[in-house]
Amino acid sequence: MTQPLLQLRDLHKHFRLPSAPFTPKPVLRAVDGVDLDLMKGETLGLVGESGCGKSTLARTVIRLHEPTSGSILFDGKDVSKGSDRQTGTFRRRVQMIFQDPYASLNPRWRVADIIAEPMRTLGLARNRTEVDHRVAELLTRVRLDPSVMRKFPHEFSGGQRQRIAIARALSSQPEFIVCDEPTSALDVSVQAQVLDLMQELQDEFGLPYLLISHNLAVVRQMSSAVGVLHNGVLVEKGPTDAIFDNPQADYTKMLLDAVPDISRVA
Amino acid sequence: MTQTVLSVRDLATSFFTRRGEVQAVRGVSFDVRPGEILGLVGESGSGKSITCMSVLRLLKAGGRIKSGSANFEGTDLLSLDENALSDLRGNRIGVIFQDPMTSLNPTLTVGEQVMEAILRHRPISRAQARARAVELFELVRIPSAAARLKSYPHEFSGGMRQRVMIAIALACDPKLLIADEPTTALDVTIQRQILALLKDLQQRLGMAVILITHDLGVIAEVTDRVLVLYGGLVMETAPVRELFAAPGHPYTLGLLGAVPDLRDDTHRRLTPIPGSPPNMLAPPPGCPFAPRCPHAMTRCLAELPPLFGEGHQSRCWLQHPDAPKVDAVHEVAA
Repeated sequence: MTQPLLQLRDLHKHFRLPSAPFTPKPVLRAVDGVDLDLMKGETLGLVGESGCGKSTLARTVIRLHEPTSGSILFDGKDVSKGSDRQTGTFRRRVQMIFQDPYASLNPRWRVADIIAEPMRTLGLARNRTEVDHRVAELLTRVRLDPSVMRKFPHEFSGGQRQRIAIARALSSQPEFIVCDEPTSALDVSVQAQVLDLMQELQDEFGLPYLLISHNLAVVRQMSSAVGVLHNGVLVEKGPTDAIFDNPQADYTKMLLDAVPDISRVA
Repeated sequence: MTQTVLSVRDLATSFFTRRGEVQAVRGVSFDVRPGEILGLVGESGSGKSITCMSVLRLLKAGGRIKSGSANFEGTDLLSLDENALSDLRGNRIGVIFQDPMTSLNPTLTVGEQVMEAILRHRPISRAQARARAVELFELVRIPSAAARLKSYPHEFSGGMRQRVMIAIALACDPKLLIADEPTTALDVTIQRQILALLKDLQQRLGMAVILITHDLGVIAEVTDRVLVLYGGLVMETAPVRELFAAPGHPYTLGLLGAVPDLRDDTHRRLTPIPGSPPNMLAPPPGCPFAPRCPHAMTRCLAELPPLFGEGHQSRCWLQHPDAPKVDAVHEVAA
């Protein structure tokens, strides 16, 4: 059996909340002992309601948050602790796509600079010509015209911005991408375009995704395996169809039952 | 002829901005019948919220109603003077806004806010108003109603705040309730509770409801009749079953193909609608969907089709009596 690309083992992320003076600070267990495996070339979906810890988990996985305890194994190597030098190229090998494409792109930067930033920071391109060449290639890959690289983010629609965010994520040639609610700020017709693009990129490059979403239908559509998170605890995980067709945990059943459904037309 | 609660005719609303005139609503007509839930569905910028905010005359700065009428119980809301309209809003017409986090006043207790809505329109004492507020909280199933009147909005969860908003909207037994994306900011489990509550109250109180949403699932489960809006126009209107069984407009079909289905285990690829919604600063002369439509003909780009049909109407040249017939049902199945 092949080894998973990413393994989370008993991962915890706790936050100390502010409190009155001289009283102990209450602890919020946002992620409370999560075990998960992400296979190469797959999409792992993570669902749950707001406040369940799914975004905290995503941020902890790529170490925007330091985990409180537990381990993150990437390609068999623990990357949960230590400096960038110790974790090697981990930062280069993961990328993230954020929820709100209106907030995640710097409005004062041109598209070319936004997309080139990971390459420049990580020293992946030798000179300007090479950077420009790569940016044009990435724009084509996300189905935008390379000529848009001189424009600013405000000249684009939500769906186009999310494509730019995807191009930026691809620019360091990551080995996996964390997508935190990538389409929840978008309209349905545009959402389908972005999801379709994500699937095509996966087919083409075998890129694995950790897909965080509150939209269960999107997760079913995109994922091969799913984890259901509730109050920081993984209540259920397994192959997508098994979870959706035959949920075991009461919480999963309740969640699935709550989704409005076209087939239940009045 | 059945009577109507609200009858909107040829409503056109524009926003005048530095960049020009944004034609948000371009001639929308519809009727709301007593005791029905009418769904307004569309993507952002389709004009669904602006249609309702125009009827209530609650447009933001720069917005102007250019033409049309909105007949509510024999009076035209669009030409009524502001005082008479204020007497109707929150009284005969209740409104629920999208975001329960920002539509309540954070510095007043929720009890004060419910009572304010009652006392604005009813000549009763504060004690009577308080009793009515408790009754309303019980109606929207807020536990320990009397005690919760003293709470502030920040002490409530999103779902509970939306219940408070519903209580305020129902304070004076409205004949018509306008709910603008009432559950969009909520989690699905809470959404389910709020929608069930709305439907139950609508049936018990016999009011008519206009439900604005972008979620086709919500439309399917809650509404009786649907208007599909796009580019400031009604593209299709039908009883809800008919809309999903036999969509008559390529845009409706496109939407259905673009929405992932929770019960679909085939993992089929979604069929995205190419392109993006029209720029309402300069809407296309023909059908607003034509530039994205897989079936578009020359005529679609040049000339805006009227709504064809009775009861189930579609704004599409393919529905012209002389047009070759396309069997939409088979397209959905395929």
